[in-house]
Amino acid sequence: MISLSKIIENRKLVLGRNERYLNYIRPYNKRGAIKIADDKTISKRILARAGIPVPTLVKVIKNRNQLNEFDFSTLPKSFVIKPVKGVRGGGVTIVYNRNKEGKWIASGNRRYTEDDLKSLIQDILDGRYSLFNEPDRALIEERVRPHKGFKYYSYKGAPDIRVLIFNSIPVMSYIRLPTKESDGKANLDLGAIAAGIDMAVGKTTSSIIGKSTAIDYVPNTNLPLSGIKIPYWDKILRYACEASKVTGLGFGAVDFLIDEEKGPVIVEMNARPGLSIQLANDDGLRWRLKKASGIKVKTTERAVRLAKDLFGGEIEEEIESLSGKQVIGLTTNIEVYSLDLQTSFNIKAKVDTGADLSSIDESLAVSLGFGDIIEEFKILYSEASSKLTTEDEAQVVAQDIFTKLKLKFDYLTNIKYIRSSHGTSLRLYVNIKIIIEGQEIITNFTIFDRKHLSYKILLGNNTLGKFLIDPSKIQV
Amino acid sequence: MDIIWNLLIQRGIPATEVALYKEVFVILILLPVVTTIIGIARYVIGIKSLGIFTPVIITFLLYEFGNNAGEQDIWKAVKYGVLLYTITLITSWLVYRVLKYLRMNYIPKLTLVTLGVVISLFACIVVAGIVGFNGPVFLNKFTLIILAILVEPFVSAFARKGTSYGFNTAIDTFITALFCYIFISITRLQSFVETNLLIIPILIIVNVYLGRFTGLRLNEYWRFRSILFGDNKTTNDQPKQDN
Repeated sequence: MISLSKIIENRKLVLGRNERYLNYIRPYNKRGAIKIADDKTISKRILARAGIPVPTLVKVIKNRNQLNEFDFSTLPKSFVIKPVKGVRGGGVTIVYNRNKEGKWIASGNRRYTEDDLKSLIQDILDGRYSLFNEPDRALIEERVRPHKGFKYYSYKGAPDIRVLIFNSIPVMSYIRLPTKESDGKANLDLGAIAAGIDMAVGKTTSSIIGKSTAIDYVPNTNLPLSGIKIPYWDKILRYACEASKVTGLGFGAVDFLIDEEKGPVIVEMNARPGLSIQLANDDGLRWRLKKASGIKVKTTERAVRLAKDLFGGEIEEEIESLSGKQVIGLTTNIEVYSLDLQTSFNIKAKVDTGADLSSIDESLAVSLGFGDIIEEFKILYSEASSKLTTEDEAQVVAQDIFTKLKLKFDYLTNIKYIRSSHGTSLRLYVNIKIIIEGQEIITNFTIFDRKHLSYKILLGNNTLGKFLIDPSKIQV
Repeated sequence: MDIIWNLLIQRGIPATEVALYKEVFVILILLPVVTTIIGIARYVIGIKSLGIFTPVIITFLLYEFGNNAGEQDIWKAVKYGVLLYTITLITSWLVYRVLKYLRMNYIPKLTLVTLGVVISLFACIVVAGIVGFNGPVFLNKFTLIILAILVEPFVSAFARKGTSYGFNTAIDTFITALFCYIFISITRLQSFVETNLLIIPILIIVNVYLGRFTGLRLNEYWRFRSILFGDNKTTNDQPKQDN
């Protein structure tokens, strides 16, 4: 059952439309900044001046006269026609090449003559694709050649990467992959895929197709949608921060395409970013915005650092790569080998940094083949138990039993007199081979009766040297 | 409000005429009541409507349709409303679909759609009359004009967001308007606003609150159900180390 308190708790994570407008778009996006973001020619100019890569501008056609005077033969081989104030990707035509008869080959394998292109541009000028059908201008720019890395993930069109920024800090991100259903367009309403991206490492996490359906694999394939590495991730984050600074957009989205040669280029900025990004990431925006607000960010490097530290989910991966040590949780599944190394058991072990030495339950040790030594040890122990009155005596007895047993069992490492919460006793130490997270370790275990404890193996400091411990990590 | 009505009577205006003044006041004050309901529908429930103009117009169209010698006949309003609204919506979609592929300026295109709607509305009224259902012809002529001009919001919805979005929002708009209509035709509400100025501070308070409302809309609880009803992510709750 879903508890109401959980919904109330989760509610704090999610950003809705009312709050987006009242608390973020209105206060943080000045009219001037919205104007820049809405007008692709202005944003392009400002970004280019700041040294941020954008697709090369070919021509802006402002009115019918300019359209009639425009010499179509000056166009490059492949280009894109867009409305300057277009919304939701409407009216975008991508031209790939020109064939021998002089026709342009566009997306969807359509062929266009010069007249066709003119009529397309005329539509844009008439305001067919602009907000409120206002007259518009047409923008012609060089086509971005999609990065090869996404070849198998997207259908026809190029995937685009959106970074949501607030207070010049990237807060959330997703990549939109065109599908057959969306006709090669990276538009969620048409049925494209959106995959959330982990801010720290730039890898995709969870995905949705269309507006909200969760999806795990690229349709009709067995390619998983999670774990796709976004190339140039650091650069993308950096450009997003810089773009928000130079345009003054406090809360908005920056859309990137990845060019084969140029790397990430900014194709668009959006002052009213959609909320589906939360579904793609399977996480709310609200808590992230709250965290990012009020921080004074001086440099771009710091903004990127903050984004990764605050909003990256799998930060442990980074720590692993930094320290060369693997991260384990408070419990971990290990493989324990028997004395003759022929068989092994899978055991859930407790990690305890408060213990100096690892310990193993007696019954488990017996099934691993340590039965003989335990038996002989018990006999010797009970024979000597009367002599165990002072600590000095006990040390002598321990040394005595050790020398006796060591002759027969060479894997015995020590016998010690221990005072613990269980009282005073003599303990047996043996070497056992185990595997933790794929790492083979031969380590020293003390054998004693752990029957009344929930874990049969306790991993102490002598075994944990090669690992870092993260208490929040949960072993499945 | 009684002060105003008494003032009118003192100035020698006959009681029958004062009733008209009351009627004018009621119908005027019901407009912000309707827009408040539309506001609640949008910001609290999350119903998309075609702007604010369309649902208001439809509400008062229904109010006119339901007018039965001064009383409100809700069944009659629903009957006429659903019939005429459906015809307008479907015809504008059909004509728009034909014209979509022609390159035309906006207003002439809209005029052609309006022409189609006007013809089908008239045809419907004629057919209704022939089969012995002659109610529609007695409707206020002006309401038919208002009804026909609904093509503008319809066509702009179809053009900008596509067929399914257009139909969905048009239907949502009608349902919102229908609810508004039923609400304002409650006689008790009418006599309340007629005698009591309290409605004005109520409207102000509700709208100021609504204007600052930052909660999730009801439909967003559904939209974000996977996050809201899903497992809390532990990583989000843990305070991460500050650098």
